[in-house]
Amino acid sequence: MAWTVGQIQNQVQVLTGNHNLSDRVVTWTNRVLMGLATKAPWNKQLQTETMGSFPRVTTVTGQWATWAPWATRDLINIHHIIYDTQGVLVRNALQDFYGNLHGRNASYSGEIPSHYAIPGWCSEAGQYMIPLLVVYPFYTTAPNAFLVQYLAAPGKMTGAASTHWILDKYGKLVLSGVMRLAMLFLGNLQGYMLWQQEYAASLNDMIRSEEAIVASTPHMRGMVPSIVLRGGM
Amino acid sequence: MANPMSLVSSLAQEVADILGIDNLDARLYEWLGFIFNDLCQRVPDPLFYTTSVDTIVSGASSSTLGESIGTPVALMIVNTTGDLYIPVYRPPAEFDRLVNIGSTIAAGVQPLIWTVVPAGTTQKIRISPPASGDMILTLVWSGNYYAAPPTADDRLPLPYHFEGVLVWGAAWFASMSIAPDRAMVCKMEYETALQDMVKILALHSDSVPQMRQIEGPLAGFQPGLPRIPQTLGG
Repeated sequence: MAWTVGQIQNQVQVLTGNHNLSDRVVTWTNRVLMGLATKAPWNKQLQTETMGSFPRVTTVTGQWATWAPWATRDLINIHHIIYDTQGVLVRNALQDFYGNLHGRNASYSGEIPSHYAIPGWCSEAGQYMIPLLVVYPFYTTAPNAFLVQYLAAPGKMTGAASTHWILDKYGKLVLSGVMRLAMLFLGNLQGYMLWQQEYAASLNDMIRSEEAIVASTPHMRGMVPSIVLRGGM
Repeated sequence: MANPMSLVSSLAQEVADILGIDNLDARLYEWLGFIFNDLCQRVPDPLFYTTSVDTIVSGASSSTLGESIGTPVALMIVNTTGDLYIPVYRPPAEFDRLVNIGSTIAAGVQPLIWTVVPAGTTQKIRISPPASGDMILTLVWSGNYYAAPPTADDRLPLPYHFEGVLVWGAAWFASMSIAPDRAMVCKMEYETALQDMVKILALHSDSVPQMRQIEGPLAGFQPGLPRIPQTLGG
């Protein structure tokens, strides 16, 4: 038994006295959930995905890993790349993947002319965003040699039966966010301000809670926004 | 799990709901286009980076780019044996000086420096020393934008989870004139969502802003964001 979008719909109906908002509540719930997902590095939203292999080839397309799994996933941000089957994890490999990746493949003894990686920009393909990656010279034909850990967006809510753990854990927060949109739609600006302040207060609680979790995880310590923004640990 | 990007017409409906006005015409789509291009400038992130792939043939030192680019960021070169090079970017004037000082540069296997010579829509990418064997170039550049007014069936190239920024931005832009009582609300929501987007894109496990160490004009800093000291692995 989990909280569902249907419960948000019912709550909005009661709280606004308007029973015609159900479809819009689904849209608004999505916007609120996506907004929440981009406000904090949620531990529970971190995903790990294998990257497949990066064969050393002479064509430019071979240098790019167009991640099939990512084509239908919802990447917010890449955290880091780790080695899986290719041996030990060199410490510096945890350097920011968006910059110069200093790590090396410990199991590969051949030529290593440079260590470089530029991932992360996206291109439009159909209706999804597909991040492109280049990883070189991690010369390996072993499958799943690398794992990427990334922050994922919540799956899109599609109707009354849709669920998400954020809805379970922070139901009041989601409802407040939806209510502020409902109030705006209904032209009730005073109502908007009331629900907005409730949303902001709940949001503060949520971020405190999530930061406490993240800060206690060594490798993620530097990710806590308030710590990062005041200059590091 | 898959979140398809929304149609512009769907985003427009959300904007109309926020404004409380349901008879807006197609110009609403243009507001979304304005805001998207605004984001391209305000979100300094590879999210809006673009790549151009080109070839410099054996013995040559330049190639005309197939498209007009913005600011060059990085260049990766793969030669026919599969070796990857990351030559250092030089601005055009300095590049020219270095090439001349070197007088005769023997063709080598590893390009050392590169630049993009601006010339309207026919920019040229130059490397030195010249290519030894055909070389495939992947140029990363910033400054992309949505070049045409969006229409109802378009999808602006922004992931679904960031579309809220577009919606609030367009609502703010329009509300200044047609729903001024909501303008400040929309402005606040827009700036908050935009700030969240920039922050979450800039955060990484070791707190190093992305792209800092990439060679090119943008090396060493990330425009628009505070410099964040490296905390782990530093």
